[in-house]
Formats: sequence, C-alpha cells, structure tokens
Amino acid sequence: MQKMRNWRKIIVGCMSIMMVASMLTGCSNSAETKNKGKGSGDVPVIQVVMPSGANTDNTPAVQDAINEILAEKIGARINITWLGWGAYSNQMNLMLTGEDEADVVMLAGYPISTLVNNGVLLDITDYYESDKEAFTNYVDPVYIDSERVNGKVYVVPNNNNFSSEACVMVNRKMADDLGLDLSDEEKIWTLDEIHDMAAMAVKKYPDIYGIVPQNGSLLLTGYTWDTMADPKSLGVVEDYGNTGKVVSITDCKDFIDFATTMREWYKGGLIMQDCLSNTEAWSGLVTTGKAFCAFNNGGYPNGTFNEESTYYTLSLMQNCSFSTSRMTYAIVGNTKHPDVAFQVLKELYTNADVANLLAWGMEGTNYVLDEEGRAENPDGITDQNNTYTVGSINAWVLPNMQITYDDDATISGFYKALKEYDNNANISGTLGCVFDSTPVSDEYAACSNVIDKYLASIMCGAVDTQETLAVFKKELQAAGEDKIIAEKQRQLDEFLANK
Amino acid sequence: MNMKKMKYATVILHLALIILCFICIVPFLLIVVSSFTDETTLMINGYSFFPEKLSTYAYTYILGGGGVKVLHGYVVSIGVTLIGTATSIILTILFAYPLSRRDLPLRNIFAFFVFFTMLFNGGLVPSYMMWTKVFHIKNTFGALLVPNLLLNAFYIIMMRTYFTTTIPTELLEAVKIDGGSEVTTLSKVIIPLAKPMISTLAFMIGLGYWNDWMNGLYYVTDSKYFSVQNILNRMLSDVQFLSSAAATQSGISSVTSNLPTTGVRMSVAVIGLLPILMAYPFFQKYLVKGIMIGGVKG
Amino acid sequence: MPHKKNKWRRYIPLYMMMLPGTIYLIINNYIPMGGLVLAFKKFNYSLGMIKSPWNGLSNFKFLFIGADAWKMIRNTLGYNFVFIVLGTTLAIIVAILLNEVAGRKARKLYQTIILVPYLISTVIVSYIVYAFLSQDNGFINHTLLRGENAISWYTSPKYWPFILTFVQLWKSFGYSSIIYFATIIGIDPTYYEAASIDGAGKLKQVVSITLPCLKPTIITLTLLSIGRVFYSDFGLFYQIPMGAGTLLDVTQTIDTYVYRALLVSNDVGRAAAAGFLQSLLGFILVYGANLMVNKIDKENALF
Repeated sequence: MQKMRNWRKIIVGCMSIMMVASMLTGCSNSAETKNKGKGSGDVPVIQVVMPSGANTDNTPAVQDAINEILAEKIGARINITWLGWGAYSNQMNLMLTGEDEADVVMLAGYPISTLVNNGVLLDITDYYESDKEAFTNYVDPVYIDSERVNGKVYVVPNNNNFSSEACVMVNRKMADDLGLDLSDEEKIWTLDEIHDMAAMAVKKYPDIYGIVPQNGSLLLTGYTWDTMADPKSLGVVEDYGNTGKVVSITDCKDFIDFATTMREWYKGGLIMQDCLSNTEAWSGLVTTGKAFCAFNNGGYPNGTFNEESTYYTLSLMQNCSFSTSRMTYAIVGNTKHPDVAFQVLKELYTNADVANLLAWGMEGTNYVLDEEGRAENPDGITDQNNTYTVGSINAWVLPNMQITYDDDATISGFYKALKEYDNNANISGTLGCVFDSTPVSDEYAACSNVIDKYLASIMCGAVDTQETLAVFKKELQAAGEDKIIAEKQRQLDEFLANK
Repeated sequence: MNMKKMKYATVILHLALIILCFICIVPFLLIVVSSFTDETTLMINGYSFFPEKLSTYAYTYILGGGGVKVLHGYVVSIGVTLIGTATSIILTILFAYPLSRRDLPLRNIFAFFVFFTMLFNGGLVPSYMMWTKVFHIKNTFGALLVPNLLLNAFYIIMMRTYFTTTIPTELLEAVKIDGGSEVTTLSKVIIPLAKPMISTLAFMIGLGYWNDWMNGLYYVTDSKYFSVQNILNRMLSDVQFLSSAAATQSGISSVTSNLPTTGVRMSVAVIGLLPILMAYPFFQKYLVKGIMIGGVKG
Repeated sequence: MPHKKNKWRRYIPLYMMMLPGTIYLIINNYIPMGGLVLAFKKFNYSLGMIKSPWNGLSNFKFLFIGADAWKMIRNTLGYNFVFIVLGTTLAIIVAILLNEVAGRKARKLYQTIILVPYLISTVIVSYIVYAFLSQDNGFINHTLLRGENAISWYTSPKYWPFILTFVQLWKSFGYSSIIYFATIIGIDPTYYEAASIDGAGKLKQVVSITLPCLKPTIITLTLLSIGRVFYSDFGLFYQIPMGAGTLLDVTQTIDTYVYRALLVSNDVGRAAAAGFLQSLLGFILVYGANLMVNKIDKENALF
C-alpha cells in the first residue's frame, strides 16, 4: 500500500514536470493557431522575411492594413518577420532550413548561385517571363538578367542604385575650416589631392584620425576591378571588368598601386594606425569628427544631399555597374504556395500603397506628408519614439523603395536622380556573370582564410607591401588559387560566349 | 622568531592574493569608467581610469530610446532565469540521485549516457529543425527555456559526485529500515543534506540562463520575447555585421550612421553584468560551501 | 527467481526519477545527433536532411587543404595543452593560497573578486583587451608608455600566444580554483595536525597531503578537458584578436578556420564534418585516457 502511494507521488511529480513543459510549448501552439485563425477561410498566408535596423513595433497594424489590400486584390495575406542585422544571417540560414517559416525573403550578402545549388531558391523564370513588365517598368532588365543563374531567374534585385563608385567621405566642418573648396560635385579627385588634404587636416587637428577604414578593418572594399560578385576577391577582372581575363588580386595592378600608396600614407601617419582591429564604421568616425575622412563605396548621385549633411562626398572614379552581390528578393524553394508567393512579391514591388505602408507605416501615427509630398515624422514624434521607421532608417531593404514617398531628409526627386546616376554609369564587362564557387569549394574555403589573413592589412598599408604581397601570393597558390581562377575564367568565358 | 616568520608569510600571502584580485577587477573597472567617459575625451586621451570629462551619453542612448525595451528585457530575463533554474535543478537532482546509488543496475551505462552528450552534438541545424518543426517552440517563452539549458551533463556529474561522497550509505540504509520509500529518502534526507550544493548549482544554472543569448538568437524573432542579453547582444552583433565585408558588398553600410559607439558598447556590458554582481553575494554564501563538499569527484 | 524480480521492482522508483531527464537528453542531445549524417551528405535545402545525396568523405577535404591546415591543428592542440597545464597549476596554487587565509571575511572577498572575470562575456572581454592594447589610445600605449615606443599589438603575432594564454587564464582560473578550493576544505584536518606534529613544514604538507587529496578532482577535470582538446573557444580566438588577419598564424584554430571557410558558402555539410571529426578525435583520446586511468587507478576513472 505504502509503495503504491509512492508510485503515485512519483507519477504526480513527473506529470507536473511534463505539465510545465507542455505549458511552455503550449504557448506556441496557441500563438500558432491564432496566426492560422487570422488567415482562415482558405486564404494562404505568405511569410515575408526581411532584415531591418529600424523600429518596427507597429508592424501588426501595418500588416493588417497591407492584408486588407492584398486579400481583396490577390486573395492572400502576408505575415511579416523583421530580422535585426546582427541576427540576420544566423536566422535567415535557419529559417531557410525550416518549412512554413519563410516564403518570400530578402537576401543580402548571399552568393545566389550557391543558394541555387543548395536548392534553397525557387526557379521563378516562368512567372517572371509571363509578368515581366511588373518589374522592368522599374528596373532595367539588364540588372534582373545579371542575377540569373544558369539562364534562370531566381531573384529580383531591390530597386536601389545599381552602380557604385569608390569615393572619399570628408567631414564637412573640418574641410570648411581648412578652407578647402569641395563643392564641385562633378570632379573626379586623385589620390594625391586626397593625400594633401588629409595631411593638412592631421597637422591642424593632431588628435584625430586622418583616414579611417570604410568598415571594420577594410580600408576600401572595391575599386576599379570587378570580383564577379565574389566577396572574397579570389580572382578579379581588371579595368572595370572589361579585360575579359581573370587575374589574382595579387597581380591586379590597381590593387598593388593603391596598396603601395596606402603604405606610404600609413607610414606618414595619415591612416588610422589601429585600422586592423577597428570595429567601427566610417560613418560613426567621420560624422562625429573623430576622423577627417574615409574611403567608401556606394551610389552617390550629385546634388541630392541636404544642406545639413555632415560630410562631403568626393568621387575617385566614374560610377560603374559592377557585377556584385546585390540585395535581392527571392521565393524559397520549399514554399507551399509558389503562385501566391509570386503574386505577393509582385504586389510588394509594384503596389505603391503596399510599398508605402511597408516603408512608412500608418499615416498620422508614423508619418505625415509635407507640402512637397515627402514623408516626415508627425508632430512630437522623433526617429527614436516613432514605432515604425523602416522608411527613414533603411528604405533600401524594401523591394522597391522608389515607388514610396520621398524622405524629408533628401531632396524631392531623389529617386529620379538615382535613376539618372545609374543611366550614366560605366557598365562592367562581367555584369551578369556571377561566380559560382561550388565546383572549387574546397579550394575556396582554404583560400578564404588566406584572404582574411592578408587582404585587409595590405590594403591599409599596415604591413610592407612588396614583402607581404609575395607571401600572400605564395600562400594563395598553396591553397589552390590557380584552380579557382581557372574555374572563374571558364565561367566568364562561357558567359561572354553566350552574351 | 617563528612568530615573526609566520607574520611575514601572512603578509606575503595577502599580498599575492591582493595582486591577483587587482588583476581581476581592474579591467572591469576600466569598462565601467569608459562607459561613463565622454566620447571625444576617450578619443583624444585614450582609455584611462581618471578621465577628464565624464558623460552619461551611453546610458541615455541605451535607456533613452529603447529604455522600455531594456526594462521589458529584464522582466523576460528574470522570468526565464527563475523558471529555468527551478526546473533544471529539479531535473538534475532527480537524475543525479539514482546515478549516485552504487547498487543501481545499469548505473555505468547511464553515466556514460550522460557523459556522451558532453562530447558529441549534432549541430545547430538538426536541433533547430527538431525544436521548431516537432515542438513548435519558435517565438515562445519556451524557446528561451528549453533548448540546451534545461539539463547539463556537467552539473549532473557534479551533483552525483556530491551525493556519493557526502551521503553515507549507512544513512540510506537506516531510512530504508524505517520503511521510507525512495521518494521520502530523496525529499526528507537527501535534499536537506544537499542544500549547499543545490544552491551552488542553482547559481551556475541561473548564470547560464541569465547570460544566454544563443537561444534568443536562433529561436526568437519576436521582440516580445527578447531577454536583456538578447537586446544587448543584438546591439553588439549589429555593429559586427555592419562592419563586415558581407555588408559592404551589398551596399548595406552606406546608411549606417547611428551605430552604437565604443562608450555604448561598454555600458552595454555594465548593464548586462550588474544584476549578476548584485545577486552574487547572496549566492556566494552557499557557493563555496556547496562545492566544498561536492567537488567534482572529491 | 522471485528474488530477482523483486530486486528490479525495488529500483523502479529510481528509474522513474531518471525518466524526465533521460527523455530530455534524448530529445535535446541524442535525436539531433542524427544530424551527424550531414557530415557525409551534400545537403540540399529543398530535399531536406534525409533525402540529400551521400557525399562520401569529401566534406572533410577542406580541412586539409593549404598551408594553414597543420597550423590550425597545431594551434588548437598547443593552446589547449598549455591551458590545461597552466590552468590546473594556477587554479591549485590559488586554491591552496585561499585555504591559508585565516580571516573569513577576507577569504570571502577574495573568492568573490576572482570570479568576476568569469562573469564577463567574451565580446566584452575583447573590448577590454582592445582598451588596453589599442595602438592609438590604448591604456598601455597611451598611458603607460606615454606614446613613446608604442607597440603595434594587433599586427605583431609574437605577443599573441602570451596574450591569449593570459586572457584565458584570467577568465577561467577563478572558477576552477574555487572547485579545487572546495575539495581542499573537505580534507580531514586531522591529517594536517598529524603532519604538523611530525614536524612537516607547510610545503611538505601540501606535497604529501593536499595534492594527493586533489588527485581525483584533477583527473576528472583533466579527462573532461581532454575530450574537448580539438575544440577551441571561438570567442577567445576570433573576437579577442578582433579577427585581425596579421595574427592568424598564431590565432587560427579549427573553429575559426571553419567559420572563415564557410562564412560565404554557409555549407551545412562541411560544418557538420568538422564538428564530427573534432568530437570523434576527442572521444578517442578521452576513451584512451580513461582506459589508462582505469588500469592504474580504477577508483578515479570517469566511466
């Protein structure tokens, strides 16, 4: 009898533990049924996953408003998930392995061809071909085609700037104090001119950095060579991608020249001596006056900055449409509703009402329009306490920011200027040829480590250029760089032959 | 003579320990001071223990805009830590006690079963698939509580060792002769005797829950369930991502002006650490007492 | 026969107690181990884990290409060896010192303070290290050296084996010395009294009483660390040196290599392969070591 009672006690104990456990998992079930309940009535719910660094607390209201439009128009609803930038790659990788977690996703920093090879993405060629205008009305088809893999469409690029340039961002106040005239926006500046300015600045302000890296330890992420969208620069095509020949970065003339110059600058104390362990972005250092200037890469149409901008942008080259890894939208391969997902993607891209909701949130609460039709914070609301700031913080994560209202921080017609800028760009000879590293992935893995070891330090001049280049080259070859370059060349040749 | 020598030795002993403590505490003080140092001063004068100009900018940055979020994060963290620690300690005791019984058949197999989990793991992707597809824990409170943290092999081994070495077999036998069942043995005899060890492990488990940001990173996208470490870690990892080459390649970095600065990162550390340091003396009372008798295999 | 049945029944409550934990370990630890098959597969997201095609051993190949392969293995094993030896020694010394402190309050204060580094997360530690070593405004260069002969820490690999060892010891010695300290306290004081009467000095007492009593703890902790000797603390080797490329020769370990190699491709199969190899080699080592312990000193074997 006694034993029986103990038994019962144990069972009760175990049961209570399991109850705690099921209570915890129970939360999820109820949350899920709630979600499903919302999308009931056979309306498919498409999971849209996007990264953002903005405040997105008001997303439920925005989502409801969007769903009202979508339910009527295409008979679908969406469920938006925002991922913080720091968590983005971790969570996106995991969500792609799951089912029902993501249908329409924004991809940033992913090599598309690798994703295609791993079966992550849905082939949307047929959808795209049958509905081409929806996208080509906004984006030059050259850029959509440039993201094709094996001739098929898997992604559509965000409608941002498609060309970029290497440039120098200079602290406005310091430049003015030094009496420098930097107002000529058409001018292409030489490195010597930059050197003289930086030297003046360091002399006048001994406590600041002259030149800081663009980001982290990398002084400049791209210049006149084209990497074929390879983030590790294993094999580059010189002269804006127009030589048709893939060479090692260690043989790239512009790279060597740049590095040699930077070595001189570094020794002269113009470049942040700590740049290899730097973890701050240029913007944090230049705009706050901790540094005089920084190299940068980006799309900078002339005359679009407001008066109160804290820095000048000095072009180092004509902007060029490189073959680079862009931010794109894609549909996940294991989606249950491919048709609807594509319809949703199309709406996000073309429907200005949806796009404005996605960018600016609820009118009145999150934004109001000024007399020029630009979105601004309502009275008493700041970027800090606004519950939805995607548009003002990073409108460029959206599929098509160019159909949304202008930001009151830029001039009206900013997006037009951006298009103009792209139209005047050089076109890289490799545009549309995206390197797929899968056939040489072992060598690629090994060489990636060598690149991490030397590229940043050579570029910022922290080590002896010639000496380190020789070691760099030797180690790259030991890790199988020749094989990667041969493969890259093969892919480029094939691409050029089909062009 | 001997007295003098003893005194001499005592001085050296304390001197050695004071130097050691100094080495431990000084870097921490440097973070605290830097978090209150004016950014420009930090730039120009470098890191220093006696900055010329103080500033609370870093704290107003964190608590000003996202103050409510940090506060909410504290609530989530405290909830997870309390519930998690309680559940975990119960599971640990229930597993360790039978394992400590030398007469238990298959005892070694179970011991190996536990130890093996310390060596091999299947990796993140399979765990993620299982927890999200089978157990649907994504974006729930359970996501912060259940994966990985609920039961730890190391703690089971410590607990078992404590039981085997401190609880005399004769005592167990005496209870049995009195007609006590295993449950009464555990609740009336073992647990009271093991109080110091339980509080020790509770502290370590609690620390694990408090400091954990991985579960939040992998299983939570809904800000409702962000713990304070998640919020702080996101601030830091946002910076790291945005300064990585991947970000610049896709042009993300072009608009990143309001990234947390050095001072903010330092204050992030202080805000995450403070509650532990405050709770520590409370646990510390039992901590050493607990391990004292438990050891690992004492 | 009835006797035996009776015996089993007696243990049923004990097994029932272990049931929840067993279920949890099976779910949390053992089921995902099935994912280790990914090490031998070419993982395809749309096909999933089971249907993805087999890939032989080719997922392991990337670990052994290039000049860095042996460096990272050397670093991983070398650092772990140093950490085990120095870490254990330091922890025992501190534990013995703590034991000699007479005042309870002072002792408690020391114990609290030496645990502080253990509580600070690695990312934050990396900022602390940076605060000390930064070339332009670091504490050492700026305040101690006053800008003269400033050392460029983050470009000089020769300092880093010492820096990393120091940081690792700094961060972990408090925790392990408290464990040893606890064991020392548990030693029967009559041993020391007897030794004292025999005229043994402090040092002699440590050698002949304290150390032998610590042996089981040392063995268990060392066996546990041997099992993880092919792993490294990612934060220590990646974040503390701020990922600086010039330091890679002395900071690259298997874990940081895998991270860098797979960052772009996000290759699940290769990551699983690396983890599998690290676990397997560690398992073989710890199994061998445990076998040896079993032969010499059966009482202290792990299993």
